[in-house]
Amino acid sequence: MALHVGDKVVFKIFRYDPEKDKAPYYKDYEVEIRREGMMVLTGLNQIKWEQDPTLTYRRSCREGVCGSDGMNINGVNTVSCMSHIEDYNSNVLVIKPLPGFPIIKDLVCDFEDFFNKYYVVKPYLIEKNPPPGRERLQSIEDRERLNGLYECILCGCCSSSCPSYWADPDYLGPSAMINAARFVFDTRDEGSDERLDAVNNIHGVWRCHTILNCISACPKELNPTKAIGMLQKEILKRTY
Amino acid sequence: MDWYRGHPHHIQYKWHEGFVAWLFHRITGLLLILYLFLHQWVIATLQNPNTFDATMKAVENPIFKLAEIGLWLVASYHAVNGLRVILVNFAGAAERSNYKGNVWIFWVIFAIVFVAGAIPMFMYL
Amino acid sequence: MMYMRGFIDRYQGSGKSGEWNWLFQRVSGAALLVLLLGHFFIEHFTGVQIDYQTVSARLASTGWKLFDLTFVVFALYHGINGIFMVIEDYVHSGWRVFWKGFFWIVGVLYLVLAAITILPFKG
Repeated sequence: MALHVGDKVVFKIFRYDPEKDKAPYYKDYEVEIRREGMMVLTGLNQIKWEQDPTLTYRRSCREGVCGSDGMNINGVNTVSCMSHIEDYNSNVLVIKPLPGFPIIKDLVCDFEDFFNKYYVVKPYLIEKNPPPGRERLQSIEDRERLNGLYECILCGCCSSSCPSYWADPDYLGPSAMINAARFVFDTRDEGSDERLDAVNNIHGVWRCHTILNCISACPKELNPTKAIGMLQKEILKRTY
Repeated sequence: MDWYRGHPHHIQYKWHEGFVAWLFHRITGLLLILYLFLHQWVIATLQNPNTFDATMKAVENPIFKLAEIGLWLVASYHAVNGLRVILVNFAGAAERSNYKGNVWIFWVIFAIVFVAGAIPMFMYL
Repeated sequence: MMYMRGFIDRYQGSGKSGEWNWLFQRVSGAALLVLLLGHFFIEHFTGVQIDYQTVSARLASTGWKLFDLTFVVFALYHGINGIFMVIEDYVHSGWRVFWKGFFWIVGVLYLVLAAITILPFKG
């Protein structure tokens, strides 16, 4: 369905202010297409700036780098700044906060638990020996192994799409694990043992049931399922 | 801060190929272990030739034969999808380019395996 | 609550990390592919009349006893471990210990039941 300048699209937005509302409700807003290839975030801004300033959502860079605006649009998690309105082929967009995360207000979720799980895997370069020479050099081939791992923007879309993550409150989730893989497979890193120890438990890599929701959710086109598989194989390789 | 966590309305996600495959895998798995318990119990209580033959006569009934084909449906689904899970784990069957297509390939293989097994079962119905 | 969770996880069974269980779930699954196909082929596809005579004659041989026992061991392990995965997914209180213990007992009882069913057959 091609949208043209001047067309109207309805945004059905999840509203919930715990200080005022007893229960969440959906409110319809009409958004005018003002530009070819308009993004969902632009539509949300239009609502907030022109129709209803009480609408709450996170956004910052509006170009898919900060990872603030993860939300559930028509049933699929994505960052709204990277999704074209017309790609949904629908006159109505149902916009909800990320499933499985506690809601603070409207589309804003509590990421505390998410980031605590991220810190569990020690997402930083661990040095045991001083760098050889002036800095740690990496060959082009070794650097290329990190493609598809380092791009994660921590938007929470993958963890929030995972049925294992909804069911098990202690599950680290695909996001923490793709970041663990990003350092485990970095040749400069020397802390992979403690990092693999952190993910090698029933709430870590072995909780993944290859449901593949995370792959379809990731707006940066990464593959958390594959990253978890790489970690599993690495742990198995080191045990046997 | 736990507002709405776990509320069914909140956890609602668009079904997609891998999710459906996993959901059925879990359901069929639970059905199979239930069947295994039942099956073993029935066999264990049939130690005497007369009761054994009488029960085997009873399960010759077409209704039981149809249920048997249902069992084959459940078992072959769990088997073929389990193979897919192993391929995802160890053979990289979930690349970004092919993860949905692979689930469809699995559905086709499952259909072939099921039909191939169901034909002889129908013949002896 | 958080402390309890750690407590439960630490004492959740012999496979502490879940690594061995995860791997053997795949191994037993692959083995069951072969065993189940064999079992189904014999019992359901060939159309042979199943009566006490033929079954007990088959079970009298050590080879078939071994086949059926291996099948039961793998199937029980695979099934009960699958139930454990479901429990770990959805049960997070002390009930997890109860349910896991319950299915441990059920598994062992069924293994004994299988052994006393299959082993006594003589030709």
